[in-house]
Amino acid sequence: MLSFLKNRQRKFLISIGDDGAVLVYLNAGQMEGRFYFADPTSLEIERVFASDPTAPIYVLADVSDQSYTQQALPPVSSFNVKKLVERRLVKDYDKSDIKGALLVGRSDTGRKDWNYLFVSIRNAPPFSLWMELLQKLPNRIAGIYLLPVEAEGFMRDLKKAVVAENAAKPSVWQMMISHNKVGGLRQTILKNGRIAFTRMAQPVGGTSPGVVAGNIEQEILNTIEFMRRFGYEPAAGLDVMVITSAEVKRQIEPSRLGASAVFVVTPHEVAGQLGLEGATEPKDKFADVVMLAYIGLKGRAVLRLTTPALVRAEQYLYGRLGLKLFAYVFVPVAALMTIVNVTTAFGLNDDIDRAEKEAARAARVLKDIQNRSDALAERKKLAGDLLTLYDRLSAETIVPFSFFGRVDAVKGETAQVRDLRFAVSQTVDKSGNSSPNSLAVNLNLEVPRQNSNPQAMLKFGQDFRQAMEKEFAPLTLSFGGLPGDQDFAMTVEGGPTPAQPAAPQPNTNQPLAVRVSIGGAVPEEMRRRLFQLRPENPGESPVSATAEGFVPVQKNAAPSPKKKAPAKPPKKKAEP
Amino acid sequence: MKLTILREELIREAARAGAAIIVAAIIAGLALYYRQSAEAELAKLKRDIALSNNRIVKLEEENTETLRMFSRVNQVPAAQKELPFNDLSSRVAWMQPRLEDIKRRYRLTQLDISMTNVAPLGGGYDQGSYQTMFNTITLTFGGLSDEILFSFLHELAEITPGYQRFEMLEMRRLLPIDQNVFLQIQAGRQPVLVAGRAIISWRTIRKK
Repeated sequence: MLSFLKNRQRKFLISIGDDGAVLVYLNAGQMEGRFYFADPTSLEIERVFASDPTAPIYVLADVSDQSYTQQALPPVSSFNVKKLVERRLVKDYDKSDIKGALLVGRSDTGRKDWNYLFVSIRNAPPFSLWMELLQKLPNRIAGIYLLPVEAEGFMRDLKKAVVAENAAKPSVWQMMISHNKVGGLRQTILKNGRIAFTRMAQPVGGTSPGVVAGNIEQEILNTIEFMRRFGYEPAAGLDVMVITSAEVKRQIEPSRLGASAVFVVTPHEVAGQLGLEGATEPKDKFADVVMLAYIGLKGRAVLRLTTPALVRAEQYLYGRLGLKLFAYVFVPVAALMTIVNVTTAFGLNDDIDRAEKEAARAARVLKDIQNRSDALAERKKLAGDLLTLYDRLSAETIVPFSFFGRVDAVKGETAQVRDLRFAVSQTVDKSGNSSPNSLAVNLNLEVPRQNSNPQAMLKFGQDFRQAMEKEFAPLTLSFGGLPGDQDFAMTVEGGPTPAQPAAPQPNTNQPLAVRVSIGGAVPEEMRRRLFQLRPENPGESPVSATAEGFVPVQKNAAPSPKKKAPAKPPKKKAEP
Repeated sequence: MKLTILREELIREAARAGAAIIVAAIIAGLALYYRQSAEAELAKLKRDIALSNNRIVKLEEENTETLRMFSRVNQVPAAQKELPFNDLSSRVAWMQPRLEDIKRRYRLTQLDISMTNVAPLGGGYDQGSYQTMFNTITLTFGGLSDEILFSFLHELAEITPGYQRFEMLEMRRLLPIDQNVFLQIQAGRQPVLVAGRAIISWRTIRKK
């Protein structure tokens, strides 16, 4: 969750050991205070923390009562292995212990078990006393960490810095012995960069540099022996780093240690190597401060431990933070939305005013037009009724004058009408709809004979029939008595006179009696053209009668002169 | 920190934050409601305006159509609109002097007329406030020529108001134009050379 921040945040880091606690205060990337307290009863402690009650406290445990156990878990899924870990922690450790597990890797061969390092701190004095004190303070406890575990990065970076100086070849094993004020001689052993185990020892036989150096060397040798349990072989390589005071450093003989490389550095030298200027002083003897400075300023948390009380406290704190954040976000957003909505609504007021005026204007215009329409309604109905009747009665008007005018024009002067009969009929169904006009016309004509020119008569008959059929199509026409339709006698001059008269001869001086019948449904176009009082588009006849007979009118040519052209008969007064 | 203190602070913070959030939410909600109300009102006004404009266009089109109809009515000849010939006496009163005049001018040797009573045509010839009145005129006539007779019939049709429908027309030549005819005319007689008969349906429009 939280990691040690590399930025300039304010924080307290406290390393708690069997011999007291070392406290450092970091601010803006700098160490601004370092303190040592022998026990948690010191009044100075609360005063120091009170100087910045909002800075979180990072607790690093350097007590001897720590447990580190490597366990291999079966190769289940990563989700299930976490459950296994939690179950082991509950089962294998005391409820009050502060515990956790660190994944150090997976086997490369075989079953590929999960390799976990189970760690725990006994929540017992002196550690528990310090925790009680810290939990009473207003400062938030950010987490509990194990100094040896968090030293992984410290050792890695320190090794890089030192190795670069000494160009040592990489070794599988690294051992760091730090002489800590609160803990003693803390030995942290890494295999392939991951913590394998840790040991703590106290210098015995005095505090003189030589004694301490001897203790350090002995502990190194003891630890090397212990490492064999974890598969250490000298061929794999072992780098040993010792952090101690300058006086002790001078007393250590690296050649006695049997390691691939031995680097003995002072805390101040370490700070210089790791870029932690200002964190230490040249005469510093112990490594607590430089380790805390590194972890606080440059390190990334490896394993964070917690207690139920800390979890609950965190929940409360994060709950407050969440509420605050939510309020800090929600309220401005709501305020912004309010401003936008109110501004928009005010802006709409102008549009609404305009729309109201427009709506009122439209309503006035509509009312005005509606009134006009209502005023016209009755007249409109009457007009509609009148026009309907007018159209219908006009369509049923039948006057035959134009029709007979066309008959007269077609027949010409050659034939004379002896009598005519014109009749038109129409039916009306139950719905009041009228059928088309049905025409029945009978004409009896007299055509003078031309005995001397029978061919002319025959031609007359043909031309007359064709002209009538063309003029009155699509009506049905029938003819009777036309030359060619009846027997007619012809006298051929010359030859002997017969002895006795032949069969009775027809009277060849009587005119031919020609009958014409015209009938059928009258198309509307023909009705308008031939049966109205004032016909529409009477047009020219397609044929013209001349003295020589019937001559078809050429298209696009000037109409030939007619003996009788007008559609309606002219008004003539009777001749006395 | 003591858990109880943290819990109390959490509760206080929740109360403060909650109050702020609720107040902000209420105000924002009211502002949103205000805006939505304004937008809804504007939308409604626009809809009303559109409806009114549509109705205005439609009514204007209807009124234009109505005026076009009135214009058409004005173009209908007066003789084919509503006429006061709803009974036989009015028709006879109108027809008689005119027939006498026509007979005299066209020198018809014979002109007889009979009329049926005037009655509504009914059916599809009733339209709203109007109905069609009709009667049947039978003309029997004679004259010197078919042209004269056609001319008389044509003039009669032209001057007669209303609508005429020639149901039947027949004409026949009775006498040829020969010396005998001329002699009769010289003697002051008026021979009937062409005779005919016409049956005409005379229709007029009446307002109910």
